[in-house]
Amino acid sequence: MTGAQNREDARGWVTGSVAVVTLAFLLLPQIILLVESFTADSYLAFPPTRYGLRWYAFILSDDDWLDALRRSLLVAAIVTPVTLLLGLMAAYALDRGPPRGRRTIFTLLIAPMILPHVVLGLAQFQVVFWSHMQDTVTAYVLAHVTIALPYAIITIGASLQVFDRRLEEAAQSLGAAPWRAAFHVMLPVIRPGLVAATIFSFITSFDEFIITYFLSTRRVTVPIQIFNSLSFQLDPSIAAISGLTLMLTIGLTGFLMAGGQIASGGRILR
Amino acid sequence: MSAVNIENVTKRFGQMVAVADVSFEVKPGEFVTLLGPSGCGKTTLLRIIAGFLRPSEGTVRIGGAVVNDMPAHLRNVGLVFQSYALFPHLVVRDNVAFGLRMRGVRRREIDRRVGEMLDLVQLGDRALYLPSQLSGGQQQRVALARALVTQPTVLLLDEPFSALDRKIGELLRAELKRVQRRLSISTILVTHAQDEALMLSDRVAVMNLGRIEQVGTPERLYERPRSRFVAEFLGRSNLVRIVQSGRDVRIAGPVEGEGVPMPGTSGIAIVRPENVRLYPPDSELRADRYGGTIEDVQYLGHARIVRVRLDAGVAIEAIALSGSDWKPDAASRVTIEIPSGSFHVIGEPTLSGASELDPSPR
Ligand SMILES: Nc1ncnc2c1ncn2[C@@H]1O[C@H](COP(=O)(O)OP(=O)(O)OP(=O)(O)O)[C@@H](O)[C@H]1O
Ligand SMILES: [Mg+2]
Repeated sequence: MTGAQNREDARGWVTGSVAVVTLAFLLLPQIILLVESFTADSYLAFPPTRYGLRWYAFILSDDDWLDALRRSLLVAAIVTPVTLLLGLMAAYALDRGPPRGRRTIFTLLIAPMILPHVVLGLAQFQVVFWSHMQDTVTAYVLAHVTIALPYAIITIGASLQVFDRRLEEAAQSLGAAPWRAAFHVMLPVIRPGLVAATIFSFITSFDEFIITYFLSTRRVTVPIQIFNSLSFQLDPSIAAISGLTLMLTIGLTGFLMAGGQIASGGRILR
Repeated sequence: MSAVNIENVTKRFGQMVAVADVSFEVKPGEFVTLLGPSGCGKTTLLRIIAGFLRPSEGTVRIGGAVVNDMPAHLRNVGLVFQSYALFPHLVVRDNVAFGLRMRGVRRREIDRRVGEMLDLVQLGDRALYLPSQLSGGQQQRVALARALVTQPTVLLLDEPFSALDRKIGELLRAELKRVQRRLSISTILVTHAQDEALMLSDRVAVMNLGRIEQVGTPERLYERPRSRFVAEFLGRSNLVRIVQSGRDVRIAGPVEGEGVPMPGTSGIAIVRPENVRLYPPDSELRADRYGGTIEDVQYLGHARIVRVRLDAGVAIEAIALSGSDWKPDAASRVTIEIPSGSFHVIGEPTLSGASELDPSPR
């Protein structure tokens, strides 16, 4: 009895310790970077001797950083809804469509998740080069949608799979045409999947480096700007832009997840 | 004009025939139950009426109009599922209001009718709850209110009580019957529970292997079943070979076992256990009495089911109500009495009739 109890406790301790160490390993570098970003020194060091928002002010007034930040946000803001819409349509078709060829189509659609991004980047580089679309937002959007789409299809597909179709039938029997039943019942019910897909798409786009690197020369996004400035000097502006990215993604995720929860008490859409 | 009229409806899934040449009608205000074992095609038939499946053959009419080609959302039927199927993101009031909103009814009117409906199912105080905050019984009442508020031509219910525990299920049955009478709404209930069918229905259609075996009032089906299947599906029954001479009917032997009809037998009949009387073993032997040994006793509380092996070889079930002095014991001797009028003939032991009486694989 107590022996079993002790063994339970011991197992709990081991599991707990492993979890803490793993988390520390994953998160500590980011926390250190975040702390460093609030330095008022003119060099990158841990811990900083003085604290302040000096470097945040710097990147938000520096033309290069602002330009990259604006471009990244613009691309992500286009990529997210486009991916969401395409992902929803693809997941819906895979869920409801005829079973023939379903597996093949699914595999093709999520292939970008498995293929090496270097290969994808090179392939897209050729297309973009021939069609003279280097350095354009369109090229970045197309590239980012390609790699964000698999995540959207998988998360939306998962919530469609657990969605009880009798809800739609109930709605139809109450006088809702199929598209209204989908709009008023299916979409709100699979909302968690849509929220997850939104977060994934935004972060995938905002974060993308390899493929965008192939497609850009001068008009860069934030990750590329970080890379470029790293290779030429190491100052706290990099910590500040990383901190900004981190807070942006955490903020977005938190906002959407809270929204998803609160919305379940909402009224019907008019 | 009937509320629902089904004519020669057949539904095939590939090679498989789920519904085979079914015809029946539901009159306005009538409560009809489709009763049958699992897989006999009840849900399929209901979904054909609701508009989620197309019949392979035959005609479906709702309110007099042929609806074979009409999509589900235009049919004006109310639907209640075993799984409730409430919209999880909407509070009770908005669940009930859904159908009226889809029809573009004015706000004020919606509020009034939803309020009335919630009062009718006694959930007026739960209007702002989410479905997940309600018990199973309350959820099913919301589902009922949601289906009824649009005043459908017919209410369709697919095993609405089977996910609920027995006590709540019984309460809800009574409530369904009350609401159904009150609104005098034409209703089709699908169930495999015979007590439910007998209790609620004006008429019952017993289904087996995609066909309707018999349609009739509960009394008629119970007392005058047309086939062995109906007899055995509704309540308990004893099936025996009989000999008839004039008005006297006697047990001749068991139905199963012998492949060839015994000479002198004149049919197969059922006897309900409640029509079998039990007497002490030393009672006077008459033509309608049989000696036997008690094989098994099942205690039900209010009564005991007593299985008696007659000396003639037939096993007969009888009911002994609790509260009498005599307690049947297994292995003891007993005399039973079956009056001639308690036999109900359901088939002739001819070779052509034999297939019809074959024990169906259930
Ligand atoms: N979409 C379908 N495709 C193929 N076969 C089906 C389909 N739907 C039902 N069937 C078959 O049709 C038969 C009747 O099914 P149905 O669901 O109508 O039975 P049921 O009487 O409602 O049974 P239960 O009491 O178990 O719900 C079953 O054998 C079932 O396997
Ligand atoms: Mg069924």
